[in-house]
Amino acid sequence: MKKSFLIFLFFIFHIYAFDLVRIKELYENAEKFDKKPVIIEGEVIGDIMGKKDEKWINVKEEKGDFAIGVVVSKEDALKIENLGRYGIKGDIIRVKGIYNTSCIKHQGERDIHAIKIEIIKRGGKLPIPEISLSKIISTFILLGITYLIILLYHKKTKSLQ
Amino acid sequence: MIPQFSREDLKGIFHYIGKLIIALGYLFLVPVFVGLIYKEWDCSLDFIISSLLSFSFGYLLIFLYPEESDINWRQAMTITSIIWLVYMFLGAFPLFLSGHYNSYLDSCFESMSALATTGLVLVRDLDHMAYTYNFWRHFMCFIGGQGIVLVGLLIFFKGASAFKIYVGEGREEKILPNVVQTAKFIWLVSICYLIIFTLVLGFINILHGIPPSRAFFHALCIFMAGWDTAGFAVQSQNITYYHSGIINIITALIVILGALSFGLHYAVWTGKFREILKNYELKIFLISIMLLIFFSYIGYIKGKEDTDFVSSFRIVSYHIISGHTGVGYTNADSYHFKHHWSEFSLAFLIIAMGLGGCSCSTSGGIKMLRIGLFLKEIKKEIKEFSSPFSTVIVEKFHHIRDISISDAQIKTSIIIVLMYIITYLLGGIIGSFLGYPFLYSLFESTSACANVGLSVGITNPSMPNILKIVYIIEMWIGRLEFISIFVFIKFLFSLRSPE
Repeated sequence: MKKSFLIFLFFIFHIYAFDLVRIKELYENAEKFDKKPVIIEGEVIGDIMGKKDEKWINVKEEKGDFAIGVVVSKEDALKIENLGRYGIKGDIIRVKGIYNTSCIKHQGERDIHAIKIEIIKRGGKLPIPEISLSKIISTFILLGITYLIILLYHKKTKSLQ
Repeated sequence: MIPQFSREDLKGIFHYIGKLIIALGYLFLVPVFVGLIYKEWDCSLDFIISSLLSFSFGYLLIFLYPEESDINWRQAMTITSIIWLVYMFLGAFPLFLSGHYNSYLDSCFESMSALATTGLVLVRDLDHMAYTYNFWRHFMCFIGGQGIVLVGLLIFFKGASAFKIYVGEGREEKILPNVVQTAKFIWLVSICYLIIFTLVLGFINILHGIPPSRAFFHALCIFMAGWDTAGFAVQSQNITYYHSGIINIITALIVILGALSFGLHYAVWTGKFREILKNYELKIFLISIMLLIFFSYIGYIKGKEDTDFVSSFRIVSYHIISGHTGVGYTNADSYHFKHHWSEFSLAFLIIAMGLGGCSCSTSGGIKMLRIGLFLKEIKKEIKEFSSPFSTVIVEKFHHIRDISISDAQIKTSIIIVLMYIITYLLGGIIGSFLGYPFLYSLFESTSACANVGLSVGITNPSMPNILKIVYIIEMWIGRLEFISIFVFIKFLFSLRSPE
């Protein structure tokens, strides 16, 4: 009885084992993870989109350029405060869900249907470069050069006429 | 045989190049306003510097070569070839300053890709790029798609010189009797569609939950890159980012409109709706799209047990339309091609990319009119074989007006078709030599030369520099359709010893 219970537990665990994988790996070894439970971590970028009760977010690897669409519930979407874009670091989240290389429900898209998401690290404002002094000096020098050349050009064309 | 350039020819060339560089100086000021709207002060300054640099170079050239005279065909072709390279170098400058590119070569690649309306990208971390730089990427698509010299035509050129420069940029049709009027019409159509589709896409984006300030920015950029068949997008996931069927449909509509001849647009705008039914090039284009979707779809679903037919059709048809029109928008990703597309279906996608859209449109590739001429010639040959010896057969077709096919037209078309095919193959062979599978490197080479922008993943910042240069050259010659480039090569030799 005890043995069969352990086998049952192992079976359940095996079916519902969530592997932490890189988003890049979901692209490179798509077949291996297709329709299987996975855990990914990454930055939420762009916007939260979608219908009333089903939202789309895009999650991008912190190191790397791979991003994937994740379908989340409205409640989970509300947990996200910062969306990655210029000047903003998005929240870093952990997504537990089922990965699809070609999701039938969403017209063949590669996506993850989230079961649970959690915020690992809050994002926030990123330092935006202030106007640099060297650029201002370059602008004024160039302005002077341009003015001088235009002046010389007009003098030359007048003399040619 | 192209005659040797004289010193006077060179003076004329440098004078007009100077003028076109001044035009770029004005164009650099447009992103400055975007920067001011989004309060990106430092980014705006980069564009002011770029603008001043262009004004300095431009005025310096016309100061050194002030004589303005009518130019000949050789000069017009050379001006066109050189100005595309100059715009690439200068257009890359603010991109390089953005810090999103590994090297100046990468930003030049992106700049040429935008100007030639290709859509292959080497940008890093696009999702965190400032609005100003991102706008410039898309605005370059708009400038390049409309035609760089078309900008100049409206500002600087007059008379015969204007038409020669216009043809040098790979356009032959004079929609209106005057080429400057033609340029104005092309801009008018583009601006009207820009307003309509920016509003439509913007409101759809808002309904999807994107805030208005971003929704309309995305809409404007998507339209500029779609209409001019470039295929750039605001986010790294391209059109997949939106996860929206309606955006797929609208972008497909924009790119089909962009791939149609401006001559056809003019006919429809002036109330000649029957032209849609009669136009030979449009018929060939639509038949070709349908056939290629059919064959590619067969290859895509073959051997797959759990295929959803609707999803598969959506993905295959979107990519065939994207490839055929030369836009390069994707609702999947490069790995999707590797894992889901059979070699059979990829081959048909390569054919779609290679064929391209309609003549006198914003798309690249061989162009449907040339394919149509080719088919007519085959038909004529068959007829001649089965007719009495003395029979003279003249083939005609309807494209805006009734046209009798001449041998000269056939000859020119066949030469250009062959040049495209040779370039696709050469790029494929070079890619293969550098270690990529031949089919994939042929895919990427065709995508670059036909100015499409779909990728199987070869194009990325870590690809060999030599391949980046090869693709830059392919994008450039593919956009200008070879003839200007031949004249440019002659020009380079003339520099050593002008007559």
